Amino acid sequence: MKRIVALLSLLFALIALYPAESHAAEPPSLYMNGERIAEGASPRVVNNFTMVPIRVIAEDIGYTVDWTAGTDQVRISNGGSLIELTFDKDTALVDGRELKLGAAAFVDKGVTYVPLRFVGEQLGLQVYWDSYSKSVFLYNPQSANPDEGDADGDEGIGTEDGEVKEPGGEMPAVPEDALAVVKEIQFDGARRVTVLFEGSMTPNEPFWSGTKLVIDMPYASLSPEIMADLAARKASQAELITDTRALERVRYSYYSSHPSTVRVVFDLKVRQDYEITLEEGALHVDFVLEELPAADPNKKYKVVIDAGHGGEDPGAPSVTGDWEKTFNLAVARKVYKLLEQDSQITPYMTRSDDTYIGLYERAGYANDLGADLFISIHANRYTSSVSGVETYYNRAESLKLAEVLHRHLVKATGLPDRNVRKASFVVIRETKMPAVLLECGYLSNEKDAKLLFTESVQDRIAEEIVAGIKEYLTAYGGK
Amino acid sequence: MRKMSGLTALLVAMLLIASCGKGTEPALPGNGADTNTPAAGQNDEPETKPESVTVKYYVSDEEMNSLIEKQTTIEPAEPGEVYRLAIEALKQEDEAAGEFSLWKNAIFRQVELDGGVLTVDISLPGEARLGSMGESLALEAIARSAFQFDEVEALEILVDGEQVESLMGHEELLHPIERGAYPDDLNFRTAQAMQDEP
Ligand SMILES: [Zn+2]
Repeated sequence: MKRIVALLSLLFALIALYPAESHAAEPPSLYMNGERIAEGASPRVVNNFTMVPIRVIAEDIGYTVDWTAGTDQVRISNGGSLIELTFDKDTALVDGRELKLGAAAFVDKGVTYVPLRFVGEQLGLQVYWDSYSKSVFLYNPQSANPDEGDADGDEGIGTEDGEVKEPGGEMPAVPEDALAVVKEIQFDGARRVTVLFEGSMTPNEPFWSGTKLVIDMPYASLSPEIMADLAARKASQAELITDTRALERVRYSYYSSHPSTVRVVFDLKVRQDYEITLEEGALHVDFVLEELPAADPNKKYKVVIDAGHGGEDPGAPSVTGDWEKTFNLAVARKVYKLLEQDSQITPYMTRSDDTYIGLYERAGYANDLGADLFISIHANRYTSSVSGVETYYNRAESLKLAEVLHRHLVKATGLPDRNVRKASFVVIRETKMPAVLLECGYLSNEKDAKLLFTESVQDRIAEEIVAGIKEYLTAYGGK
Repeated sequence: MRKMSGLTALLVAMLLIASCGKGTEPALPGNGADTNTPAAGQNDEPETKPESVTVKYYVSDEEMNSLIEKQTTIEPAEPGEVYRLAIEALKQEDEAAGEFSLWKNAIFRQVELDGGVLTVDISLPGEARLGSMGESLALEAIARSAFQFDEVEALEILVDGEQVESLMGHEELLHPIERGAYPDDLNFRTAQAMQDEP
């Protein structure tokens, strides 16, 4: 059967080579949660970047898009966050923070196009690109009701539209479908947050959005008192300021009315493990970290960046004709440069040019330095069909670093997540500090290889590795 | 229109292959028996041959998550040749069955047993170089191939005649690899199992 499937896909691949003759012309389309949107404004590929019409996507999930005629700026907002784009500029401002787009936004026949990846990341959408039909499938993972104004993937709470609030002086009634009514949220001052409620509660599986932990509680509402208070303050969400170094605050809102859903968002400094216990009338969320390591502005962390292979060891060949050692060094240099700008970090490289350094020598170098972290950069190779990102660790003390960096690496590449794995590679085994080996993608896979040898992607990988290093050091400190 | 006919020809060819392939799943050779049933991927053998031997070899799956043990029949012309052919068997693969060789592009320059030590001298052209997990599985595959013979007590892998620290730049290459480095009772070290938290 496998053989037949393989043949069939080959067949489709061949048919795709002759689109005019054998493949009925279905124009590239854009789909949101399975439904086709934006007819007449197809996604298109420009300089290897897939560009999509931003307005129709953003509006579909409750953002407003403003373009003032005569200017070259577009503002996309949902009340919570603001994205500012400038035509022909390949950076955007997201809540005032400059982000690389990869390709510049442009206007064609009154339609504004931006890179697909950016749309996915910034609007919190899952993106699937079907290379066969050249169509883009977007999914809004936060809600099955895109009409609910649920657009705020990053902030988590996005009911700024006032739809459910009717400030009328009297107490709002508890919605009929609510099986649980949240009365109060408490913090014990250390690691435990407790949601007190009446009735029966079945929370959804929590999910992470950046370093925020989000728990949705379907068939639940906020108590009439809380709703009245929110209405009086014209606020959409209530806040509990916790203000420890690990947990900044807890926010909660009546998030959706189809069905009635309460959303609780924990604004954490870093991702961390937690445990949820549900008992009669109370849902406890216990975090493992009470405090982050004290921030010592004078502390300097030593981070060793190891560009895999080099010299007579070229590493794996790439289908693009390049070698792994070239990729590894390029990204390592970029990481080094970015780390140099951080006053708390001193970066080191095991090799800064095309020479081979022994594996034990690399580990010994980091050990002699008394380094705090060791990060080895590699790219993978197997068959042409395998694609994705893997992060390896050896010793238990490296697992957290592996998890943090892996998450950033998956984000940076947009490639399939092939998991954090344990292995006994010399550089991660013989080092005496948290150490990981990153396999950034498969050079045997055309898509992966092209990405990895694209400068802007290398920049993004380096930025995310650095973001991961900083996140880790903030949460767990040095060695 | 020219394109079209080319495509049609291809389609026909592929459908033919598809229908031929169907129902003729290659059977594993029996224990050293039937020399007339070539294993998948092998060419037809000449009629008269010395005694055939069934040996194990190891490939990986589509996702490179683990090793798969396979068997094939070899026909060593002289007693010492059994090791070379067993190592060469690592190059066999059957993509359609989801079996991929980790040694396909390597060159086995010399395979020789001397005093319990099996020395395998390898050349690694670029195409033979894998990523970290690939290297790890490749090493395990060749070690398991070598240690299937009770008389092999250690495996000495050389690259172009020399002892090197690492084959492909991630794993340590021990000199030699001792029998027991990959215990049978550990089953195959799969990448999946390696994901377990310590
Ligand atoms: Zn490598």
